[in-house]
Amino acid sequence: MRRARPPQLFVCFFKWYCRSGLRETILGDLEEQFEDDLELYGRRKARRRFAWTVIRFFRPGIIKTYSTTQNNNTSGMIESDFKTTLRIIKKEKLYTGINVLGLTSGFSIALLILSYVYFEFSYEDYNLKARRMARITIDYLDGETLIDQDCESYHLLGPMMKEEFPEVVEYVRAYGMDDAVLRIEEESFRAARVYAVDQNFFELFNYPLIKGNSQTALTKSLEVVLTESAAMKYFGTLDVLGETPWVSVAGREMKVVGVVKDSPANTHLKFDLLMSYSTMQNTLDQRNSPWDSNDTYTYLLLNDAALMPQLEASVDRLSKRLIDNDTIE
Amino acid sequence: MGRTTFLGEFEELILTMVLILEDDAYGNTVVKAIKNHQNREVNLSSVHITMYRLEEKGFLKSYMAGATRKRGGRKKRYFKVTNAGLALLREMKNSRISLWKLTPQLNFNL
Repeated sequence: MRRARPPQLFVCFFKWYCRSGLRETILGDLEEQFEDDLELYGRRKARRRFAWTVIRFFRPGIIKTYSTTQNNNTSGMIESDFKTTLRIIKKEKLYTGINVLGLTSGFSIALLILSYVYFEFSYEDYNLKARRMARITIDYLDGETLIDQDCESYHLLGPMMKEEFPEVVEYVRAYGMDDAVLRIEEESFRAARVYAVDQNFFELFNYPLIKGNSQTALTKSLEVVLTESAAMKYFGTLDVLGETPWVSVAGREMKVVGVVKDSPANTHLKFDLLMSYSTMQNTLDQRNSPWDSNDTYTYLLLNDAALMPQLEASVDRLSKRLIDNDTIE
Repeated sequence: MGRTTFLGEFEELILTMVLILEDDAYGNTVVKAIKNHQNREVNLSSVHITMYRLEEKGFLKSYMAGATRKRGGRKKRYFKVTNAGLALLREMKNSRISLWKLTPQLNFNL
């Protein structure tokens, strides 16, 4: 009969983990015990006890350490550096305090600046059309010198430019009012950010309507659309279609035709209340000349973002013509 | 008593066994001696670990010798009690006896 041997898998395992200085004597003890166990308990139990003892030997003090297998000099250096650092921290409390304070405030301020800049760069990124859109601004010139600039322009410019410039697909105007007072039954509310806008405002600025039909909303005079939070504030519900609050800027009752999502924090044009552009048409028509006053934001949507230089040239040509015709000064 | 001169129960047992076994104290014989004298099963690994620890503390010393065929021709690591180990065992014994003297004496006549 073949002589019974200890389980070779565990012998290999032991040889692998054991430090070299202990290997021979422990393995000898293991084998001697195995021989005794063979006589005492038989083959199966002897093998099982051998395996169990090998597992029990797998512990610190027996397992080879990293430093015995590989002499890594830098670990000692790092250890010494670490100790020195701790000693200096203990000894120089004031300087440590100053350093830690400076470092933390530096880090936190850098993070604050970073998040602020990131926010600033994110402006209008919710609107996929933003790169193709332009806002018309006005430069006031005295001879050749620039006196002032204004981002509000004349309300006739939008339609004119859409008709004349081939690169312009669409225009949308927003006539800003300082604020408006709404009277709902006996209560009055103040809406701070109020604009009269063209009907395609929702499409060009990518605002989905929560209530109401975006195709028909703001097509007629005396229609208003509220933001979500404005509707909740004034009516306490989003079911406000068909309500008729009295609105100060129109001087009469207007009809709620939609509820729109709140404008995000990273847009330049934030609003609480939008009304149809035609509501303000009377006011505009009463003026002596449409070129009397520039008080509307004009946005143009181009075929392609690459057409911006072409648009600039077109705008220059138009303004020159308007000046020559004495339409504007 | 300093920290290293304090022994745990198992350490004391191993140290005593090595003393008893005189010139024949190595892993296997210590395990067997504990079983014979104390009727207690201990694992070979615990014995080894403890003996290495006692050697580190200076109560044991070791040398390698005595390869036999039974153990695949491998040497044994024999352990011997050092003078410090012997002194410690004696001190522990004496302190135990002096403590026993302070306990109330049992009176079997009650």
